[in-house]
Amino acid sequence: MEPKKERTILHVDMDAYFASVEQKSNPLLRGKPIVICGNPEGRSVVSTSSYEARAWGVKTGMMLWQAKKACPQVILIQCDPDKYVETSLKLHRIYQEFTPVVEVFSIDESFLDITGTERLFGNPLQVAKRIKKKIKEEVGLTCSVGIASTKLLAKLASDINKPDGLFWLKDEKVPGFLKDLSISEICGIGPRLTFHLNKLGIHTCGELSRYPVELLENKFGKVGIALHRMALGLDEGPVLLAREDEKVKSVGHSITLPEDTYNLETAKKYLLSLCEQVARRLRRKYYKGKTVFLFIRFPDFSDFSRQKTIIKFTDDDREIYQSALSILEKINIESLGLRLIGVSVTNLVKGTDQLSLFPDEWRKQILLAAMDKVNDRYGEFTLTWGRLMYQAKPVSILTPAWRPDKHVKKFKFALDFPQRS
Amino acid sequence: MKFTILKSNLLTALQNIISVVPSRTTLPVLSHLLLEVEDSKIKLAATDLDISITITLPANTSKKGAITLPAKTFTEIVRESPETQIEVNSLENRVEIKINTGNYKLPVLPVEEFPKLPTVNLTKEIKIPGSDLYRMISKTLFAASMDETRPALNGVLWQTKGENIQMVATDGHRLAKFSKTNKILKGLHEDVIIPPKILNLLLRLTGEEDREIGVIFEQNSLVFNLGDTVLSTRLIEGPYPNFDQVIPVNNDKKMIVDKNLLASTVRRVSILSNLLTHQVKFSFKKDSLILSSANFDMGGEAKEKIVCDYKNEDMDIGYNALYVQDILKQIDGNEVIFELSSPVSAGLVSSAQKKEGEDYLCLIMPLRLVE
Repeated sequence: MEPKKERTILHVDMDAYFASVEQKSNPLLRGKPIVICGNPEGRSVVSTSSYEARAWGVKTGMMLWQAKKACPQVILIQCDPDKYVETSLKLHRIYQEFTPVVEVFSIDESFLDITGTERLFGNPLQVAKRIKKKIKEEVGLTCSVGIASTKLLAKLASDINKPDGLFWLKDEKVPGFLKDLSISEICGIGPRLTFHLNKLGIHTCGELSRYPVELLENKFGKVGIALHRMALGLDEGPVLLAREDEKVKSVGHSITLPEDTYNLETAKKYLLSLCEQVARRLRRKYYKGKTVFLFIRFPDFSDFSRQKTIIKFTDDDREIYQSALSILEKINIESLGLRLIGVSVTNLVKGTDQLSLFPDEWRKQILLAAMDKVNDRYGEFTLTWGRLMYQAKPVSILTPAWRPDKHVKKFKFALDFPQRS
Repeated sequence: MKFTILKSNLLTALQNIISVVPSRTTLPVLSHLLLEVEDSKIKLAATDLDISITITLPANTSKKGAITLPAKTFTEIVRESPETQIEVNSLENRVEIKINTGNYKLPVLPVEEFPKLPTVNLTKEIKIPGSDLYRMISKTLFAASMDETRPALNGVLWQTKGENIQMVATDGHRLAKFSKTNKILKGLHEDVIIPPKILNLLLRLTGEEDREIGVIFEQNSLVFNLGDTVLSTRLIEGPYPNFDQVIPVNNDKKMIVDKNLLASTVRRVSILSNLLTHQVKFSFKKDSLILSSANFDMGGEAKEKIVCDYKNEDMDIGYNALYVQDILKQIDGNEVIFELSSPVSAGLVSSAQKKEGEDYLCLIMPLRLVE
């Protein structure tokens, strides 16, 4: 085996990203507690809050009324994905000036592998400072940077002096740093794993690393071994370039209703608009799917989900809707109510097209292609199903899975900027 | 109600009955079978409300009557019984099954709760050769759709056309049509769409043996009378799509190939096709056919070349390998003919050795190839 190469990885995490972008673009919002959310009039949750709002105890994921209760003067701002995407692309361009190996982890977080760039830009600390300065000057935002030898550690390091932080977690400091760190801080250990590990008496990374790896493997399988390594700060995961052919596993959308509904017809409208969004995204990426997954949250916050596999691959709004509807109709919305509804399509194949014998199927495809063309030019839901005529247009929200290549249609330059620089 | 019967006779009947009993149902009585005892014979019946089956068996009966009893449990008891006479005897609210090693008691449900079974109107019965029916069904059934969103395509269309009777099935991507000269069935004027479940059952019950099968067409149902066994099914509501208009008439590119060679090659090459699409590329060249596949998830590729009779220009067409295999299984004779037009239009597949008085053809739509 080759001797392992020492790596230097930067994790750049934008501070209160959406909120900072809004404050940057609107001076009146600067220095004020603001919250970015889906629909300020509706019942969405806090997507991001500014540091001024955080000081009042406003947190991501809070209900808007909770945020208002915590901070009565909070200003609610509707999320503007295009603005954030454009800013992210600018940031991406800056990272590309320092290294070609950039992984867009989410819209506001990136990993940069700067191994071997010392002669060009100096030591990692200098690189990080230069990146921070450049972002401040060119984009007007602050970020926190973590430097370490693995992605896992770099991500932890960026959290240390937030906001506007910079921390170099050197290898010799790692054991001491991890010793008392709560396992839930580790990226990849979610609430469920934390719960199960807590039951074993494991609360810190130190405890996790000392726990016999065989026992972890017995309990968690392969994940157990990974957990052990994570607790030691070991992570061979390379910084992955965003690739055009990245395999998409599922395409989905969900919406929290403006108010709970107990009306099946209302629920069906939301379902149809979600299916339209999902199908359009499938078609845009030349995917078709076979399994339709319906997710529902009731007003009492209990969840329900079920999937249905259809016989053929589809990217047709109505076929996805029919499958999702067959699940929805089994639930008694009239008595249970509906708070949130989501649809996703999985079991995807790309670029396959089983042709149909019958002209009515061709007509469906021609119709969808025509709808897509109109909506591409004049905006989503310009041409839509009759049932959705008086339906408020859904607000698109960026998902953590955002990648630079996902906004190809709107931001054509996104595709060619790496070559230009 | 009381009778005795030999275990093996009863078990054979129960195994056919049980295939109709729904595994999950909201109506408890449907998980039961109806047992009627008459003079020297017993009648077993089950239904899922769409299809029903009645089997009559000779038995040593001593007391007439009717009960319902849990179909699955009863069948299990009979299956595990030693090969002897079994005595069934109704008690108050229960039924007793006596075998030589002991006795079993089961709960019953009121007979009145059991759905009324369709009456068989023998005056309207038309007799047709069982082997014809078997052939027609087995050659078409495979192409029926399982997509619940288009119910008409879930069934097999049965119609008379002039001197012919024909069955057609399609799932929108492939189609199978079998017609045969038959003068007896002239009584059938309306098209019927038959659910696949009853056809599968019929294939299993009749086999290829040649016996007369009675067919009775009712308003919304169809009855098959096999003598001791009567099957009845609800029909699927139409309309059935106009399939005649999609059968190509100008497919002028013709390929003839050894059927078994093609079938085995497709099977082999498809091992490395995409597991979800099963796409195999057919490259038609002069006197040869190249089959290739690629599974990018796995990083595998396959390619084979076979000899065929093809004289037209080169053409690449993608097919779902499973569809091709399904069709080849049903084609008679050693050689199969593909009549083609373009990579995006329906191909006609048929046997090079046609049988007198029969016309069998399959259609297959390609997968659009993306380079």
